[in-house]
Amino acid sequence: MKNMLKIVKKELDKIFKFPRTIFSTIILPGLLLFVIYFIIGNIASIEINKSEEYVSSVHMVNAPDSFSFALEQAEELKIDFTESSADDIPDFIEKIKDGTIDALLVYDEGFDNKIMSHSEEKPKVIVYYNANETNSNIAYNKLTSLIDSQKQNILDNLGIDPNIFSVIPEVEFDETKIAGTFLSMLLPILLVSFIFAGAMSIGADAVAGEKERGTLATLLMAPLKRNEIIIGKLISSTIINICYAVSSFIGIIAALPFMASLFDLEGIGIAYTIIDYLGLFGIILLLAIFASSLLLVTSTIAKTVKEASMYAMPIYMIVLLLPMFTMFSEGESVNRVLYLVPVYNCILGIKGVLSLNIDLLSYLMIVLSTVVYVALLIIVLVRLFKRERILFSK
Amino acid sequence: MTETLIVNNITKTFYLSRKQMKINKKPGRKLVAVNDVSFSTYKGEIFGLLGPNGAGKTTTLRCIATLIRPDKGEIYVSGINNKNDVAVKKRIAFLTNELKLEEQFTPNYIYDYFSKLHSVDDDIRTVRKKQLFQKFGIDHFAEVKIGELSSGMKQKVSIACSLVHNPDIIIFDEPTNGLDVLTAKVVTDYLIDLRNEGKTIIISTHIMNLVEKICDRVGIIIEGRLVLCDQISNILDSHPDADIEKIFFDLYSEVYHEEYA
Repeated sequence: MKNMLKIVKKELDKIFKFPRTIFSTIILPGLLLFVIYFIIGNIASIEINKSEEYVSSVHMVNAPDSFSFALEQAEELKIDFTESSADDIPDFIEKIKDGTIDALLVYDEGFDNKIMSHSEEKPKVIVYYNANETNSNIAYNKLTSLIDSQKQNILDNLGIDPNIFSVIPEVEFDETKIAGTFLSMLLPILLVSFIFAGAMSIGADAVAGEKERGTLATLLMAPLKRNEIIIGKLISSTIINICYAVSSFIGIIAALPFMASLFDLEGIGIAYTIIDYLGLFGIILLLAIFASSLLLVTSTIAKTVKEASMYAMPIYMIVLLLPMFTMFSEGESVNRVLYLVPVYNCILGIKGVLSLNIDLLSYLMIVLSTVVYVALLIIVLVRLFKRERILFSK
Repeated sequence: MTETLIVNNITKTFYLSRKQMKINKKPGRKLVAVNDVSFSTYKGEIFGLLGPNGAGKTTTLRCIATLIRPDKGEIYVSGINNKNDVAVKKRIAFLTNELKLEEQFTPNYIYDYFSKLHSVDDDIRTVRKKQLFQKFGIDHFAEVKIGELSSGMKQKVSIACSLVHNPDIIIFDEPTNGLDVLTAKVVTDYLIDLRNEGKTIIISTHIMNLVEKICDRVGIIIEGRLVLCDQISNILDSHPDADIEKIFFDLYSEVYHEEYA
């Protein structure tokens, strides 16, 4: 154990003794995420404000009296209505396409009369808009809302209670879960990518790099058992991976207020308990050990850092794809067998803890199965590290 | 004379990759790098292992150093079977050009690190570091990163680091390879000093002059077989008209049935 700690200390010194490596390992991942989400959040917020302030340009043809109420609300709704002739419809359609105007509202001639006379031919209102243009979509939404109001007014005039039945939305939600659900979509992919990216760079250098530089044979001449050396390297690699993960986690949490407008999180806090944090840390720790063990195996097999990175890349690609499958899935619908699939189970675990949607049995299945996988990987790693052909192959 | 190392009929076979087979230019995947080699070394002597490239010198030394295990035969270091690699590594130092030091650290850090790995007491470490750093002039660059040092300086640091635990047996594979004449002299002088202190030095080399100059006994290894092993003085006495170089080439010709005179 003492010898193992000597190896761990030296491996950590490689990072923590030098300001440049401290910056790139500890500070940069979190800072990068913070800056990225700060910029995205602010840009999104500016865009949302812009769209709220935007005055839609809408042309109307044959606007009936029943729609006159809308003209009174035009300023409030930020719509600039212009009465136009039916002859100009083809021109306006072109203008909608090129974005000069946002929408065109075309009522049938004698719209109100047709309704009041209970004409067999139902009157129509056509809304022209450009689905590719954001401003045109905004105008369309405003117009459909106004047309709904118009319909209600007409029903009222016809003596039909527009509220003949009512729809009362009763939204049942736990405020604390909203931010959690959002985090559970975003965090697993970021954490997994950072943990495996860290394990890739540290792991590739830990054995293959030392082989390539000739420093491994020097280390093997020290009076240590080979399993002490490789497990020492595994522990240090795991610690560094956790630093990556914690740094990125802090970066995301710090950037959360700036993303509030983007994801409708304003005024909603995250109320995780210490148990939730411990649960999350437990899974991150296991995932970091798993990633380190797996990538140390590839590094041990490889002769050079380049070869180790080549072996690690497909693993990284697969691992990056896994969180995508869980991004929109709900906790209750997960088949329990999936809690035994390596890496995928940890992603489900992170998602479950963050969305406050995981039970103890599922959590234990994740933890125990990952512990078993890690144990198997360590056995493979130790055996490989004792093989001459692996350590001294050229 | 106290026996410090016994090498008993060791054989080591490697299985070659296709790439290595092309380089080796010999049929078959098996390469018998060391074939039934036996010799002993004694306290206070320099033993030279002489042979051409690929003869099996480095493989033999690596077996002694416990980096690899022989397929057959046994090795005893100070009476300890070298299957007990941890105990053996406490008694030997192994230095080769292939063994490098981490370049981002300073000689000071690396020396302390290896001292800790060898569980050297702090007081002893301080005294020994001072002696070795003075001896090799490392004091002047003790706080410079190893990556920024010249190859001669790096070699000096490597020697110092391999001796942190004051080993009984010091194995140097090609000790002066790639060194400038001044550094090479410092190293060879130090080997003689170590012998005078009662240490066993085993060097592998193909530099005949070096063998004749500093070695007490020599083993000539060709094609994995130890074809000669004796005191230098005995070898020279039995070949009055020849030097070590001539004797080596004669032996080589015998093995290969070729003329190298």
